[in-house]
Amino acid sequence: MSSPILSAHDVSKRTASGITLLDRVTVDVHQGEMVAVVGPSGAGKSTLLSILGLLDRPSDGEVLLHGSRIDNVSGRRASEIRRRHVGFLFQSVHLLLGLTALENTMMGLAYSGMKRSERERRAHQALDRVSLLRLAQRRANDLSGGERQRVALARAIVREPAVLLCDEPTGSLDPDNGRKVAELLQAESAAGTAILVVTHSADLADRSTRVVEISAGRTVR
Amino acid sequence: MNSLADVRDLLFETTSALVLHWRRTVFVIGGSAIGVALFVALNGLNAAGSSAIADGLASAEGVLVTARPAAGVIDNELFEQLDLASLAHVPGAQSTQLVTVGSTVLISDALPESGSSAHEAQVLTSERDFTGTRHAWPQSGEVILSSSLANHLGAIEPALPFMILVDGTPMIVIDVMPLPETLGVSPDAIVASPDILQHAQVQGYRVTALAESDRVQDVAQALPLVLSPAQPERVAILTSLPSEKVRAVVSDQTASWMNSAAWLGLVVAAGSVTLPVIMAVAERKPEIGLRRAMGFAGITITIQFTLEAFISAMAGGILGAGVGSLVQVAVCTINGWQTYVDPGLGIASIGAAVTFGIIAGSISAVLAARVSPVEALRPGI
Repeated sequence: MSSPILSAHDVSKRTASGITLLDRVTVDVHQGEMVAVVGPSGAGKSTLLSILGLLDRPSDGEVLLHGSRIDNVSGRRASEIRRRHVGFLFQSVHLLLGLTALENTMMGLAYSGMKRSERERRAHQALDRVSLLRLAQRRANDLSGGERQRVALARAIVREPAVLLCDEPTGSLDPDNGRKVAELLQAESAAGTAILVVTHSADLADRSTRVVEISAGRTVR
Repeated sequence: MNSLADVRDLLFETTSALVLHWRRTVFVIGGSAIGVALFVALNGLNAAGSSAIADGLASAEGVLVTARPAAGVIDNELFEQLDLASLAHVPGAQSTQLVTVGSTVLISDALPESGSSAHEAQVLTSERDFTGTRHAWPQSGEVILSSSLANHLGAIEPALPFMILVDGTPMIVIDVMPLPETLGVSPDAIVASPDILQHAQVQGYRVTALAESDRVQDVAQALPLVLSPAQPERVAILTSLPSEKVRAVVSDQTASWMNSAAWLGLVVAAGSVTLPVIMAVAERKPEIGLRRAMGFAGITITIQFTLEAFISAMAGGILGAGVGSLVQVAVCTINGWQTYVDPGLGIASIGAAVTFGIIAGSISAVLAARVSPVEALRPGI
């Protein structure tokens, strides 16, 4: 197997009050792979995702992107790494409701230096990949929950990130919409994106290449 | 901010945020505008209104009794608008003459025609023999009333009317002089021609009586009988304060509350700008968190929040200064007051609103940059 796109080696996280959230967790995500991180609530799954996405720093251990250590970079460099290499999909979609689906998707290309026409072209492509091209001009507050989540996915993949980090992406969707989003993630993974998805969904876990189970901050599977 | 495209993105993001959060934007702009408008309008109306009130008091029909400037020498400042060409013969005065010694002008409109007082005054003045009196030696450019001169000459003169233009307004001045006790006349006696009042009423002139500062009330009490022996009740005595003092008093009185209200306007502007901008951070926490997760640098978010507040406050300030000026002009026009639109005040108030915006924006920007993406993006927040 090729070297991992993103990996965490013996990552630990302790709070200021000394509570251990993660304890020497190791996980790798390779290109074209979808890794599901499962476990009970409070196990440390979202903390792991935050550390992998440079939204939080580990107390111990290393985070590597394309083999280079990134957990100790400056805040500015971390922002740049996120902007260039990492996409996020959250349970709460956080769309700007006054904007259209297209504009929300284009938001993912802000500060990219691209011309507006190029952004529109890429945003249209991303919306096409999540089967929402026909709703490109619809305002976000007129979209259903499932459609909003797919727009959020389009916004996450519009920059063609090497890694997509998903935190309960189907957690607030009905089974049908959850299945659609899971299928889209599977398709993205098949297209070469490395995906790490934190989930309670058995369906999503079943569709994953690998499953990592965490309990009480430790890897159990 | 590495390129022009990034700056363009920042402006786009900022304007998008202002439009998306339009309710707050309208609140900030509106609040800032109302506050600045209050400040500008009330400051202008303060100046215009108090001046108009003072002018109204000063120009009211009746006789204004006021203290004569010290030592009978009329301060140049008071009569700097004096238009000598407008001097005219006033009925009741025996004559109207001008006596000039160098650049000192002696108005001697009541010196006896047949006598040599005018000539004598000129001679005495030029010979600098005008000593031993309570009057200062005339200084260059000063205007001296002939009554004072006559007083010094020991002559018993009637009250000496003359007409001047002060700020373009014709005014008949009666110099009510204390008569020398050595002449056996009561010092309270006031001599004036009743024709003066009649003339003033016909012409619509203001009549001002100058008296010794410690005798203003006595003169005010005695003057109606002198001017209108038959019907003294027809003579209205206005005030013992000179118009400039009236203006100052009125300005002080009105300024005290109008300035308070004006400054309250700035407080309104400050509150309207700062509170919603700072509170927006909590409301927009998920949005900020998302932007951080998407790789927007903290500095980018900081600049955006500051820029949002700056633009809103500036727009409100400009709008408020415009509306405030219009309100002031409208009120002044309706009331027939002179308008006091002060561009400097408008610019200063816009500057104040912008300062509030920058302060509020900076505070909110710092708070926004500190938002933890992990917490901000947690479901339910």
